[in-house]
Amino acid sequence: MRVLIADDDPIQRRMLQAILVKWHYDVTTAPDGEEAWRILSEADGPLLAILDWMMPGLSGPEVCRRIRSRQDGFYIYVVLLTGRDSKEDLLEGMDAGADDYLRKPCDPSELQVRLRAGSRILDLESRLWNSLRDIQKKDALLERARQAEVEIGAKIQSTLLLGQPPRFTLGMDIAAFTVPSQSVDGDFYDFLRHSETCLDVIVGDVMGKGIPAALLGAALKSSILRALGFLIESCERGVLPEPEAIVTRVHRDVTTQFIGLEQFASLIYARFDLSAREVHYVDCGHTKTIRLSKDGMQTLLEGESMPLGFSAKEVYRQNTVPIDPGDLFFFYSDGVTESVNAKHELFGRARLVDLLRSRRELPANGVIQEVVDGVVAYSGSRSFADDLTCVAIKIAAEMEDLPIASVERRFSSAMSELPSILHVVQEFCRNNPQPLDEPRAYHLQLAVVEAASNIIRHAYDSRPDGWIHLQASAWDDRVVLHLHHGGVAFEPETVEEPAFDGSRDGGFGVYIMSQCADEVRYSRHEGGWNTVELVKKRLSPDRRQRRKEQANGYCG
Amino acid sequence: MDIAVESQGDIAVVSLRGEYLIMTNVEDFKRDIAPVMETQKRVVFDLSQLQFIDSSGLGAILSCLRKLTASGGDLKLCALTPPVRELVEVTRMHRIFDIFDTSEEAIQSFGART
Repeated sequence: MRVLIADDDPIQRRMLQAILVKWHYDVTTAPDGEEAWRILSEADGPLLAILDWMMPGLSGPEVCRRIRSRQDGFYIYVVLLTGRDSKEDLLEGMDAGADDYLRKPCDPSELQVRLRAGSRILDLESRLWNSLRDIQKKDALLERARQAEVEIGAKIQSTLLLGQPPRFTLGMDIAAFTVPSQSVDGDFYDFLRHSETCLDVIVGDVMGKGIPAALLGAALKSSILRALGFLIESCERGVLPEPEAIVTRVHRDVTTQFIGLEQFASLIYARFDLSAREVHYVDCGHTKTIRLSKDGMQTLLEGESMPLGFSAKEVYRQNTVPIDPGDLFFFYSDGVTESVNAKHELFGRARLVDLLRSRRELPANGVIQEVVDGVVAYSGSRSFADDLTCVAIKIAAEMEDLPIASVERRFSSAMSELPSILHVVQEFCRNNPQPLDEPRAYHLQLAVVEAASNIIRHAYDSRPDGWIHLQASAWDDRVVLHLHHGGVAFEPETVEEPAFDGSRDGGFGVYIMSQCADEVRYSRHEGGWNTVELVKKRLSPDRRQRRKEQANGYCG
Repeated sequence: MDIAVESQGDIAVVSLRGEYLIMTNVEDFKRDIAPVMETQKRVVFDLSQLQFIDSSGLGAILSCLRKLTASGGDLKLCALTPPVRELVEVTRMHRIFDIFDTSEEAIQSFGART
């Protein structure tokens, strides 16, 4: 153990040093109080100090006071040495924070005993420190593990439990957003796309927050999928089970357990059917979804049913509202309307409707951003007391007349898929309610094979692990093909014109597309995919004949 | 797709036996047709079974034409189905190829020229 001996008398210092070295102490010495204080202040300085009372500069009791007044570091055991022996002196020394007190000249055996006592105390102190450090380390590990768990939970929730707005829908602009109050939450939403014009939207809120609420949300979501799967199986082929039947089955599945756990969940299950221009919905005690028409009229999607988990006897019924061009549907959790300002006043639905009305021209994600900004401005905080969830669906203002027929199919980007892509388009041209005449059908087939080849070769660089989503839709006046893909955007401008004199093999693909389709469009979507659109018009005079004449004219 | 070669004197009539000639199977075709291009000068492609050609298929046939004309021979096409004829017309290749309704007419056209 290291010991500091501070004494201005060199003889006294050496004598003490010799004794302590004999007792196997590691001795450091100081000739005055300043030096003693410097040595004791070092990070790994001695923890046992024998200080002379009277020293030039700082006295023994003054060094002692400085030691005791510092906030950090280990405990230093101080023995004061002095020629004084009055009771006042002893009290002054102890008052300065000394642990012990020896009169000069000191008796070596007494010094030995006193130093042993000091060592014992320092040893005890060091063991206490170590166990405290262990506890702190374990606490930090536990906290890190807990934090990691919450982060994993939040990641699972955002990637697996919260549905992504579906792609490739017709006439609907969809956006969703959620901010949990604690990294994971009980709010959830999901989208089930049945076709390009039929979509189920589910928005729910499980009572409570954190991981238990998120787990119940997950259980509820899986119950909904199970119910849908079961009912589709038992329905006639091609017929979708009604939202009412799905919710009733979910209710039967989860309510007993929810009651047992003393939990409940509010939910709205809404089916957007653009062909029928109707929303069929079941409201299970959720915040009332707002429908805002193009001219700003408000309708609420509300039912009379209680949340799931309230009562096993509850009956769930579905209601219907119409869909009109330009409608905005806004789903939200109570985190929006129940956020409060500094005066503890609620944000409220009226304020939300006003905000939506003034921002209804924006796209769906813009509407949501405005609402979130509005709530932040109102509550004066970016951290929310409750989970905050919004789903916005905007119906196209110019709601296109829907196609008379459509099919969609997903392919890989393997070269071997081209014949299948060709066959789907051949079949569709032939077997829709208004078959396309043969020359136009051939043109569209030529165009689609070239478009798909370009996607495979250029967008995917011939990698077979990409995807191509083909949608074919027929209207009275046209047939339209969409080829969505996740490869890089293809730039047709970079392609050279073909050689019509037969001197080169390649370069015909883009030319064929432009000649065979009436319109070719390339677009890139925010969601990160690209689309090639091919339009073949049905009407107009016989363009093929005209093209033939043009070609012959060119020839002559 | 398979090819079948039938000799009529010094003229080789090649039947392209498959539903389509597109990027998916064009490499197979190029491999199969190569020996014919090496050994023959006067060739007729009978396309009666072919329901669809894309730009890569057209490119492969065009390549055959160039090889043959370079060695003093020629390639004639016959019996185009409507979809194949559409492609040939769209790409204006009917001005590059001699096209006949039947293989007999195609064969005769060689005779007439020589």
